[in-house]
Amino acid sequence: MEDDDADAFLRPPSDEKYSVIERTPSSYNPLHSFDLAKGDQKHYQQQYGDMYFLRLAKLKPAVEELAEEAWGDLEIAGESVRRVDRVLDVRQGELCWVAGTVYMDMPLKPNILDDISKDHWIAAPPPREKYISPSGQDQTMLEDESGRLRLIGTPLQMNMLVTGCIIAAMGTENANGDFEIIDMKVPDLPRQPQRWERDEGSVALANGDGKSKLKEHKERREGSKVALVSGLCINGDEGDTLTLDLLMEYLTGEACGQATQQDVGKISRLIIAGNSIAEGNPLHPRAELLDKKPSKKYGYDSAAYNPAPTIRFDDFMATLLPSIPITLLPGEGDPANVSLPQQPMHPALFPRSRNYASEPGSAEPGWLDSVTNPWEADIDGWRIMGNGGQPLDDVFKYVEGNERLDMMENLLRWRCGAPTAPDTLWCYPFQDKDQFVIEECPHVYFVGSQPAFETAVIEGPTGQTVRLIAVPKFKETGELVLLDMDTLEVEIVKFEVFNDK
Amino acid sequence: MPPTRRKTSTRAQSTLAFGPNSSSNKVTKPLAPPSSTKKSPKTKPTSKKSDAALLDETSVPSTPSPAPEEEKPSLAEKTVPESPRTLAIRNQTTSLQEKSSKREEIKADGVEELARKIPETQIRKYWKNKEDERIAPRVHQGGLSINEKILRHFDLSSQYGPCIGIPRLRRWKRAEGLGLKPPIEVLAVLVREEGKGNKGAEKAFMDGLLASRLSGGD
Repeated sequence: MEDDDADAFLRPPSDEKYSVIERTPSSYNPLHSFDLAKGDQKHYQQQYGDMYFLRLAKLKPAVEELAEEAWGDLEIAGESVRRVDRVLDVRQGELCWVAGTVYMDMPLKPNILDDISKDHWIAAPPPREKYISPSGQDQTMLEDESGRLRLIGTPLQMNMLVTGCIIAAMGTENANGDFEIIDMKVPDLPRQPQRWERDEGSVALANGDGKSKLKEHKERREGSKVALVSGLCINGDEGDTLTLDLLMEYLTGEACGQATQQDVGKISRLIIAGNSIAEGNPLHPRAELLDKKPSKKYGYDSAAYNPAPTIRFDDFMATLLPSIPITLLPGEGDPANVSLPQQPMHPALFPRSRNYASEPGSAEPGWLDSVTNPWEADIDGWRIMGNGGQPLDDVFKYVEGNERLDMMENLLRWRCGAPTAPDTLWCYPFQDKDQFVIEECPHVYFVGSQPAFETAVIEGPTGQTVRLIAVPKFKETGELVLLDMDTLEVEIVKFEVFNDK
Repeated sequence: MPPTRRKTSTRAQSTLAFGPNSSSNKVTKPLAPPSSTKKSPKTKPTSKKSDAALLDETSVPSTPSPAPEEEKPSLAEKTVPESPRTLAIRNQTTSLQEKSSKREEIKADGVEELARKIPETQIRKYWKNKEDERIAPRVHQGGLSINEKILRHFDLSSQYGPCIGIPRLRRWKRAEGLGLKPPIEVLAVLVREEGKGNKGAEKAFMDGLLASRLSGGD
């Protein structure tokens, strides 16, 4: 890159005809798994118990199959292992295995009583970084519709567990009534679709003689890349502008020399994985709000609302959109609903970028695709799944250490995208199907707004391979992740402003 | 008391008989049994008695939803004071009916048609099998029709999930979709009750109790 760029600038204009570098088009087929019904059709009268029931009903067969394979004809000290249907059917002294949902009883978890104390006293205790209690008061329990069983044993220290994952545990009940585990199994990675499987399936359904069209599809999509960025945290004033402008220039192909621009031309799509707008001002405590008299103001109340971040973000996207399609996921600080799955940010928030979004009610995704958080899609045939970071950050609070990739791997192996929902993570009370259960293994799994960039490849029992990507916060690290869609290799582009200190 | 365990599926799931050679295959229209119409006015006074007994056993749900309180002022103007929960669940049933009529017409009609054809004798045989599994007869259920007893037993079968906040028909279909094989006799009873226009059989009895407790306890 350096040689080319060194000659590219500071030269007199030449007569050389440069060819226009074109951007590789992206083959994009999003899934709408996390779309919720709108308006009247969305009910909140149901309780969250349905969600746990649905999760268990879906994942219990999978985990029992694995457990049967592993422990079916196992004999320990002359006693064979028996399968038990319900958690309460375990008998003292008998070696057996049972499947159920894990529940972590942690006294430091957020408690409704903290909210009440906020009303009575001036300040609530600050939110904790981790829910693990230092004195070992945490208890792990196994639960199903019949009851709960306390778990103890060495596998608990070796394996990561959070509330909501489905496991099969083998062991025996001791005199105290605790279930001592000898071994445990998780559902592990589900079936992974082949590359192009869903696109081929839909094309085959659409036209019987789909073969010639398929070849066209495959040949066109060679050598493309996808850019992932997260945590732009635009707050409309000072410090954002320079690194953000560098990012814009890089992606539109205005920066650097010919060689880099050729590379940038291969980037077919930008995925913004949450937290694009900096967290807003916290709401005033209730007492203050009541005292304030509603004064007549035309337009909006500037004390309560600051439009600058949204305008700046809109400008950012509107500069990029003519050249590159964008997929926008909402994050924790974005103007979308708080509970998972976060619904797409409304295009009305972005008056300039709105022109690139699809018409309301149309099935085709637009050039600007505002999507849900979590989200999955087929890009260039590969199944990509990702979220804005909330489920992973919540799992972080339950376990010791900061091994984000381990947590991501475990999310996939538990086959649940957000196991701690609805316990400590706000979510919609699903009644027909727990959408967070991962039914088809993705090829790429990314999580946004993480403290540092990390990546790894994990493997599954039936040959699945998943590329895990932890996308760092752009505001803090200035890093953009590039994912090569042929080899699923990852590289980083770092934008930094030279600080003369 | 933990819910009664289901025995092996061969016993609980009765087989459906088709074909001309099967002796028990009678596609007769179900007659409204006279006993149930007599007992329906009776169920109200007896249900109040059993109310007191059941209220002691049922526990108030741990997550008191703030929604009923918020919706109360808006619903106060209604002439028929229906609690917001029953209203929402009724909306769910109507939306379910609309949905099922639009999308899953073939599927839903298929299994419901099957259920409609199930004769009374099969339903009674199913219930007799359930009663024979117990050591002692059921208490506080003297005034209930057999249909109501079957539906309440289905409500309390926790292997199909919680019975609160979801209409019975939808719960049955959800269990069927998850592969839990709920007994088709229950669907037959639900379809019959719906045919009779019995709105009270739509949602679980427990749901009605809890809803009335929440809205009544001002």
